[in-house]
Order: sequence, then C-alpha cells, then structure tokens
Amino acid sequence: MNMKLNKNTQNESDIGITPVDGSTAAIKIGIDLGTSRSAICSSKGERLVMASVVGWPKDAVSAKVFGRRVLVGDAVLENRMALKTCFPLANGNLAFSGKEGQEQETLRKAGLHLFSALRMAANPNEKQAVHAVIGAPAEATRENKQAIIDLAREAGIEGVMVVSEPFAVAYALDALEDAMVVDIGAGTIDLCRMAGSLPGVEDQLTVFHAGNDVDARICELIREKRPEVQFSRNMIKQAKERFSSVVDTNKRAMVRFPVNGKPTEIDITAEIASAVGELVPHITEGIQKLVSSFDPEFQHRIRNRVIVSGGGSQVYGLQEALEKGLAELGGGNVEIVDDPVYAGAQGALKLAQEMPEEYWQQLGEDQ
Amino acid sequence: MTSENRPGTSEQNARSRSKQNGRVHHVEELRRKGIQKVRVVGQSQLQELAREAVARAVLELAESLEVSEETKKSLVGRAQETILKESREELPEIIDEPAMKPDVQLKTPSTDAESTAVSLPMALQDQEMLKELSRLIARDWRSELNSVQDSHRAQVERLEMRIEELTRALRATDQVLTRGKEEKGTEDLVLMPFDHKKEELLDQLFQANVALREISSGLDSEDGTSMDGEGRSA
Repeated sequence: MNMKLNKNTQNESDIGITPVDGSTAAIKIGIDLGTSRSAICSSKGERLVMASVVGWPKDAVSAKVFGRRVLVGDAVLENRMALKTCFPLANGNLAFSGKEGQEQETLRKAGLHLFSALRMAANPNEKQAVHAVIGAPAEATRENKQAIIDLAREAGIEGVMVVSEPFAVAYALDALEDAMVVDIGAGTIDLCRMAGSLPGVEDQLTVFHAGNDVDARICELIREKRPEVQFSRNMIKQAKERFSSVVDTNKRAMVRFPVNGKPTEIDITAEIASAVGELVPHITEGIQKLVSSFDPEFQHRIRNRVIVSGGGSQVYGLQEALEKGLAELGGGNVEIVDDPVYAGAQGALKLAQEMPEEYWQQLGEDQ
Repeated sequence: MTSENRPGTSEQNARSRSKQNGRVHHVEELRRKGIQKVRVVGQSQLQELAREAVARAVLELAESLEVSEETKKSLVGRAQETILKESREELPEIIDEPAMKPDVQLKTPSTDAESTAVSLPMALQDQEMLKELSRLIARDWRSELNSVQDSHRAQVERLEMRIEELTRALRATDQVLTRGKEEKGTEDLVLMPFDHKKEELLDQLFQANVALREISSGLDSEDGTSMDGEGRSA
C-alpha cells in the first residue's frame, strides 16, 4: 500500500555530501521531473525514484483501507483500482498549465502532492530549508518552468532553479563541451549539444515521440495482430521494459495476457522490436539537426560523443542501432550512461551543491 | 719585623708602618697568645714568596684560560721571566722553641728606618711586577681574543658566503618551480578550459532563473529575449 521507497544510499564518490550545520543548513536536492517517473537525489545521500502519479481514494471504504487522503508514486499504480489517479505531467511539463476549470485544479493539486512527496523523500528536518534544482524538458516554455517553480515553492521547497534535463545529465558527467546528450524519457526525448557554455535555445531540441508513444504503438500492433487479447497500457509498458530490443536476438518476448479471461501465452517480440525501432530515426534526425546547425569546424566533435541517458537508453541494442543510423549521416560514437535513472537527478544535485550559497539566499528571498 | 728592645719611637714608627704594611706585635703579646715560634722572613725571601704566589696565580690563570697548550706555555714562560728574574736570596731562619729561650733575640732588621726603607721599595716593586703581569696577561688575552675574533670573523664570512650561495640556489630553484607551475597552468588552461568557466556557467544559470522569475512577475514582460539560454517563450 505504501509508496515504495528505493532508498539506495549513493556512493560517496558519486556525489558530495553537504555538511549539515545542526538542523538549519539547507538540504540540496536534484530532481528529474519525468512524465512517467521522477527521480530525486539529496545532499543527505537519499535517492528515490517514484512513479509520477497521484491517487485519491475513490470512496470512504478505500480511504479507510489506505488510511490517508492521498497517495503518491508506485503505491498508486499498485492500488489504482481503488483510486482516482492523476498524472500531473504531460510531455515532461506540468499538465495543469494548459488546462482550465476543475481539471486544471485537479492536475495542479496532483503536481503539488508530487512535489511534496519528492521534498519529503529528501528527509529534511522540521526547520531545515530545501534548495532544489529541477530538470525540465529541453524545450520547456517559460510558463512551464515558472509553473514548476511556483508549485515547488508551494510544496515547501524554499529555493528553486530550473534547468534543462539533458544539461543536468551533461553536468553530472562533466561532459560540458564537445558532446551531445540524448535523454530518452516517457514523454519526450531531449537533445542538447554541449559546446562549453550554457546551452541556449538553438542548442536544444525536444522530440515528442518517446516511451509513451512506443507503448501506444505496441498496443496498436498487438491489437492489429491479436484483437482478442486483453491488456492494459501498463501491462504493455512492463513488457516493453522487460523485453525491449531493437536488434534480433534469440530471446523471445513471451507474455501471459488474458484472452476471453483465460491467461494465454503470447509472443510479442516482433511488436516490441518494431515499435522501439521506430524511435531510432527520431533520435538520429534530432542529432543531425543539432549537428548540422553547429559550427562546421567542430561538428565532428559532438557527433563523436553522443551520450544517451534516461529510461529509454536501456533498450537492448540501442547503442548499435544509433551508431548505424549515424553512419548514414556521416558517422558518430554513442555511449550509454551507467546510471540512466538517476543521471539527471544527480546532475541537478551537483548543480545545486556547486551553486554559490548567496544565489540560493537571493532566490529564497525573492521567490 | 718588629723590635722588642726599642719601644718608644720605634713603636710609633711601627704603628705608622702598620698602616701601610701590617701590624706590629710585641713578643710578650705573642707569647700570651700562645705563639711559640716565629719565622723571621727577610726582604729577599718575602720578594721570593711574593713572586712564587704571583707565579702560582699566573699558572692558575693560565690553566683557566681556554687557549692552546703552546700558548699557555708561552704565556707562563714570559710570566716566569718577568716574575722570577731576580735570583733567590737567603732562606728564612727558624727560631726553635722561643718559649724555652726567652732571651733569644729575634733577628730583625737593624733599624726601623732601614726596615721601612727596604719595605717600601719592595711593595712598589711588587706592585710594578703585578702591573706588568697584568699587562702581560691582558696582552695575551687581547691577542687570544683577537685570534678568536679573527677566527670567528673568518667563520662568519664563510658562513655568509655559504648563505649567499644557498640563497642564490634557492632563488634559482624558485624560478624553475615558478616557471614549471606557470607552464603547467597554461597546459591546464588548454586541456581543461571549461573548468575555469564553471563559476561563470553557474552564474548564467542563476541569472536565467532570476530572469525567468522577473518575466513571470511582469517586471520584464515585454522583453522575452532577456532569458538568455535556458528555455523559450510559449
């Protein structure tokens, strides 16, 4: 029932622990705000990844069962039959800003609960301030970013800065020049070229065809081939994460989905491979756009260091598939980050820790 | 040193001399005090005794000096020449058992005047001798002090020269190290240029967030381009 806390303690070499002066020194946190899942790393060494979803008990019975008025994270997915669920993010942005009326209010409240849960995951003391750097999609609008800041502040995070997600990944890896970061998420694929300075609008690109689109495509393909099979989007998502591949392997994606209520073993290898494979052209096209608009003298440098992060980077064979795609456009080298789930949050935390304290104070006063 | 059979003026003379050279004692008085034997010391013997005492003092002084044996010998030799230049004269007479032979006459100088005449020059000679000895010792001391000072000066000069050499070597080492550091710094600048810009980058990020807030609050609503770098308008 409870939110699943994945409190893996970080290695000291991974991240610096900010010395805490009694109970008053501010905790620094880095947040990768994801459409599907959000990750947080704190200066106290806490790490947590949770589903970006909020749920309210459907009725008095379920409220009695859960013992609380609202649930956040994986617990919502596990108990969604007894909950009214809400995903506060769409395409990497807070969804409420584009809505109106009751729907907007519900999405806004969901976003607020999500930020509160992320703040609590940092485990601050009662009087301890929290300063956060939050990763947003590369092409997030000013309104999107301001909505993030406002909601985070409302959730009790005193100091908030927003940074583009791929830049946070680059910062985590110290890949601040001659590199291209590709962050494959559920809602978007964010690309950012690093040329030794703060990336501008012209250095970043967001592809709105990502993990959720793959899930949708797999659903389409299965329905086309086996219309009698019963499944949900979440079942497809889990199968994709378990079996996704863009290259031919001997391993078959065998799942047990009900057919007329009877569990039936079904082979969905081809559907997953096809849907996942459709991502590759989107990524290589985005890379090519950013490379071609760069100084011709240095294009080869960023093409030769393409760093892929995010949950989508774990697709089997993606590295070879991308290099194959880049070969047709002039070649390039692709590397997958070791810790794709936390890379963005870790980079955001690094930024938060290295940001001068007076900046945080100024933001805290002004915001 | 005194005469029993010539009290009167001789006693007055003895008193006056005693102010200069010592006290005059009557034989009876000495006997009452239990003195049974008196050594009568002649002028030359007294001079000899004085020389011996001075020579002993010179030897003791020479021993106490921190100079080479050769210097000591030389010093003592010169002192001996000066102190013991006159030959030894008569030995002192010993009067045995004076109490048993009360009539014995102590051999004394013939007259007080003679005694006084002889005593004064002797004291002057001793004083002169001591002055000479003092001069000798002082000269030797100065000589030794000078040699020691010369030695020290030479050592100090050598030390100063060595310090100067070491200082020059130290400066040269510093220059080499400084040059190496500057070269290394230049290499770092070439190899890791971005490390030196991190503060600037963090500052830019901060400014972008400040601009974001300002735009949102309407302070800069008409100038969307102030958001340098991060994000774009909807």
